[in-house]
Amino acid sequence: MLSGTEVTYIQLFLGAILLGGLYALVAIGLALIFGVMRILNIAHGDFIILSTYITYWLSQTYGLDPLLTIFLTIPIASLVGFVTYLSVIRGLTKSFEAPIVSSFGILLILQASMLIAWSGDPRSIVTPFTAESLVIGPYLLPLVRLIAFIVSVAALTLLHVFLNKTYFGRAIKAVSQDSEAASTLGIPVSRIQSITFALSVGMAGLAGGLLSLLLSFTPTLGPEYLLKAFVILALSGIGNIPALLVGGLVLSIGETYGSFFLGSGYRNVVAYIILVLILLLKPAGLFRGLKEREV
Amino acid sequence: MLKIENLTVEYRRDIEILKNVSLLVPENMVTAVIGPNGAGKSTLVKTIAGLIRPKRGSITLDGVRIDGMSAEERVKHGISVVLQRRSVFPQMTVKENLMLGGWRIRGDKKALDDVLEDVLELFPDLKQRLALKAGSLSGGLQRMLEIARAMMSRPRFLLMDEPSAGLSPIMVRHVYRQIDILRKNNVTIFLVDQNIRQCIDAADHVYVLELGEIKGGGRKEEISESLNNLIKVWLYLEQS
Repeated sequence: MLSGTEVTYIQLFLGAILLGGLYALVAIGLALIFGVMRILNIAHGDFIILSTYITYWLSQTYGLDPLLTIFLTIPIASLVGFVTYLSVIRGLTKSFEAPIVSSFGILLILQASMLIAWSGDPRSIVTPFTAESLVIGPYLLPLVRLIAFIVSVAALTLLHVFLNKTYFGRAIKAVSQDSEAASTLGIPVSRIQSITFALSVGMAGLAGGLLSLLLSFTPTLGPEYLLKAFVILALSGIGNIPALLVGGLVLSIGETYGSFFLGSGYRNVVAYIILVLILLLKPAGLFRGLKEREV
Repeated sequence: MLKIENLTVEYRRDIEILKNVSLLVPENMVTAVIGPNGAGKSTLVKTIAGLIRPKRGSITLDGVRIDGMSAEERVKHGISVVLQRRSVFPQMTVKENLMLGGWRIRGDKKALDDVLEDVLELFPDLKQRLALKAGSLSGGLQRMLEIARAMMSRPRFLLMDEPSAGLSPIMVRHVYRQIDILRKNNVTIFLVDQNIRQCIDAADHVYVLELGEIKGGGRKEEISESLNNLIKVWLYLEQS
């Protein structure tokens, strides 16, 4: 018979596992853009937060089911990504610094726009199943978190299959491995990059939509999710998708137990500590044996 | 026929790598450009392939100007290139690399399968290695894969930049045997290589490029006495 404390630890662990899948989804967009275009998209977290507001707006304005609304958020976010690529990023891909500075500008524009549109007050979405949980013995699995986990893992699996098993996915990988060689084969590098950018922001859209069901959000939360994505990439490398999933789980487990023992105010501190420890002890990430850019 | 007229390429402002280069690449033959290190041979190949924009001059393929086209568009017009550096996609299998070479015909699965079969007939060494990661192949086999992948788009003009670079003498002979087979299969080849002996042996037409300028050239048997003497000096230096 487990003691009450042991049950609590296991309960925390289960909650962390469910959140970890979503964290991997938060990181995948950043990994895709960096892997294919060598661009560090500082605005990645803000695309996620924009998507939480798009989900919020659609469900509040049109009374749509919040969970189904997410599937509208994805194409809208992808369109935002596509337009951002065409209008800002496309002409800057030959430079390493210019896209970073530009994406910082996008971050500021997104945050200011969201503040104007929705103010700085925290928002949240209440669904019919927000308070529901799956009960397994002494453990509770919150239904929303369970759904977020399943959808995240399914999305990551689909993306993995798309990149590795389809002709177009392999072309994306080819551009990520050697864009000049890809162009000499007739692969339209610029088009692949624009689609990858849209796909990446679309994944941020899905992550944001799912997050909006779990947590309250404000327009300035983006950098917090950018940090989480950085930590996961530091853990996993640009690496492959399964490694990213493990990175997401490590971060969520660290955060969950860290905030349990130290207090919830230390949640982000744990993320920073993990980042610093990884950079000091395993700068190549936990999965050194895996080759880079196998996304 | 591929026609290059007064092609000038700048590296930086006022540093001309190619100066008014003009030459003809007749169909179904091997045209070689030879010259010492730094002559501008790789720049010439990259400019024809669309990877470098010329400052002046024109590149015409069967009367159609292609110098304003992107590298991707040139593949549609039948130009394919094997770069000097290693350019296989190392994390992908040999088969995946080859299939990507057929991007131009990707919509027609049967055509893609047919061309893969034809290419594997020309490059039997790759047939047993289709499932291997390209990065795990030897340097020579990676070069073979690059040539085979370039053939997947069914090019009319195959540009080859230093195909023997970094290979053992046995692999160099193997690569040149392959070039001979391609020529017999009516592929027009434009070749630059520092391996002057092999290059001249393989070529029907030879041009000499020095410090970015074409010093002369034409049918191998008809090139001038002075150029022949220059080539003899290079061959002597190559052997010594």
